[in-house]
Amino acid sequence: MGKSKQPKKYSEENSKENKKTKQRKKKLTDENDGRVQIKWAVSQDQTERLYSELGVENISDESSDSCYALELTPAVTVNKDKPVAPCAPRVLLPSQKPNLNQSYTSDDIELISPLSTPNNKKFLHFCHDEDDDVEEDSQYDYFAELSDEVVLNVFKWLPRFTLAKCARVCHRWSRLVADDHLWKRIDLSNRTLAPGVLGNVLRRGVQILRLAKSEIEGPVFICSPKVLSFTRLSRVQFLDLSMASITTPVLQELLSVCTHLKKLSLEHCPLNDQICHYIAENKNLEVINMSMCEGITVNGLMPICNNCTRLESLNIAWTGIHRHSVVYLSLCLPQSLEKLNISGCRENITDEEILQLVKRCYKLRELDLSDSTVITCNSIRYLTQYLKRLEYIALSRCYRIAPTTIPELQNILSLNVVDVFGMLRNTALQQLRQAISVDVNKYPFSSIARPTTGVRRTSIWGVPVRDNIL
Amino acid sequence: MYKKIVPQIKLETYEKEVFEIDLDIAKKFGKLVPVLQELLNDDKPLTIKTINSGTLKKIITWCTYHKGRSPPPEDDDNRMKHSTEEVSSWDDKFLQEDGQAALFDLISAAHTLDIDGLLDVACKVVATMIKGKAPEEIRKVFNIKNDFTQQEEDQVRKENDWCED
Repeated sequence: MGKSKQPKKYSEENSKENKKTKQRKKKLTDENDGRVQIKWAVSQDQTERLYSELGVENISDESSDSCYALELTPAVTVNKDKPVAPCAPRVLLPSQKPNLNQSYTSDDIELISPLSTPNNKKFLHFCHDEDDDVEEDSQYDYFAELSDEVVLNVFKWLPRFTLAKCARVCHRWSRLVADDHLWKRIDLSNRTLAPGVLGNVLRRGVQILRLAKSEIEGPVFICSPKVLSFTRLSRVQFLDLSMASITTPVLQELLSVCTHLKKLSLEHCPLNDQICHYIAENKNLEVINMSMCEGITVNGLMPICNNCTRLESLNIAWTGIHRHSVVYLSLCLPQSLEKLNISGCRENITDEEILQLVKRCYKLRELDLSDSTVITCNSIRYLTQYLKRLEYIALSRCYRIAPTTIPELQNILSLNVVDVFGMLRNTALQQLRQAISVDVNKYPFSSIARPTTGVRRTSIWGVPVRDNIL
Repeated sequence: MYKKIVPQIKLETYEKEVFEIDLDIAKKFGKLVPVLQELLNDDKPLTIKTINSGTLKKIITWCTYHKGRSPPPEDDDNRMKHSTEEVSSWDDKFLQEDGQAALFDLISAAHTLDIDGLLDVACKVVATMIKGKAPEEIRKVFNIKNDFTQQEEDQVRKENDWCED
């Protein structure tokens, strides 16, 4: 940006300086009298080379004036308390800039300033040149001299609402405010988003978006037909819509533009088959939280199980899925799965499905089967037999399991915690705790696939959702 | 020539003024780190035409003041805490005492030389100057020309409405 303006500025500078040349020369000559001067005897060739290295034009007809001798003296520390005023008229245009490598041999060092060439007017600020027009300084737009990168370095400390004001300052600021680096993380939880707002948020290139408990009004995008569909594709990777108030059509529009999701929470959102198809487009999904979602059918589960082959964590608790969906899941869940919460299926999950499930998902480390009211001690046997990596198991309120069979779980060597809330009276619970070496009844609420647990609300799945702002 | 006790490197500024900088200060100049050894062996100064003497002097003062203060460990929580930290009163005074021109020169130089801590703290100071101001006030403080038509500004305002809490 600033670069294209440079030549003009320099020519202005030059003509302005030329008027002052005489005066300045005189001044420099006067100053030289009181200063230690080391003059090197050099040949004409060397002089020219030195001039060019130093970015100074050799103007021979103005004689070999002594006032430049100082500039010609390399590697001499001049009086540091009283710096020399730069010899402004002789600064070359950027195109004539001498090769830096001539004066220094390191090729690998690149010292390109965001100020592509020094601005004399500014430098004089430090040189205390009385000749210079000091008022001009206060009229100068210093931001124009900074590269976009550096301006963004300033903007990154500003909160969202200040950035909104910055966008209205000028065209350049408006463009820079929209830079996706500034909008990687956005927390709009507990807010009401007017129609079109979510589209604006997505267009900023947000990657980590928290919309928990937000009220989202459709449509997601309001834009002219000019805007091509690919500009709508979002870059969201972490999306938290837990307990959001959103209708099925709006959720469908939102998920239709998401293809980069890694972690997704739709807790308590209304789903349909089409939405599940869009979810399945995100082949890199690692975590899905669909607990308490309505509208999940086997037709919606199929694409997810087929496409999301990297899924590690799934929470599908209390979704009221039918028995054939449970059967399908037990046979077809991605084998990559390490954490599964399929609690709340009541009588729709039986020992047979548990057997199929543990055979398929042998990598499971955490499993929540609470409120499976018809599974029996056979399931305990299957778990013990197949899940060699299990660390956590929840069997709360599985009333058909005889409490006396619970200690068998000890045979899983990796097991740390067994939750069996609602199954034992206090005395029996104490006996169980004495009988087995793993923790009993540790976590009343499941954390599987959930973005936020406990009181921490500044990050989702351990990733901060707020920018570092002042 | 006698042997120096403190190893130093030489930098030449825009004004052809040569500064001798102690090695432990120069180590903070990220851009110079790969060539430090070379610079130590070389008696010829490295010319940095984009930095003026006043700015380099300030950089050296800043680095000297902050010498010995090791940066906090880079874990996530600490990083957050560190980055949201307010600018210390010393830094604030030091960076603002010479006015806007000097501050912006310093930012450019800190970027050129890749002095992370200085760039961040100087940018924070500028950010603080922006914070809490209306667009018109911001333009006034930094002499920025409004190149928007009323219509355009309204459009931008609409697009950014949602940010204003």
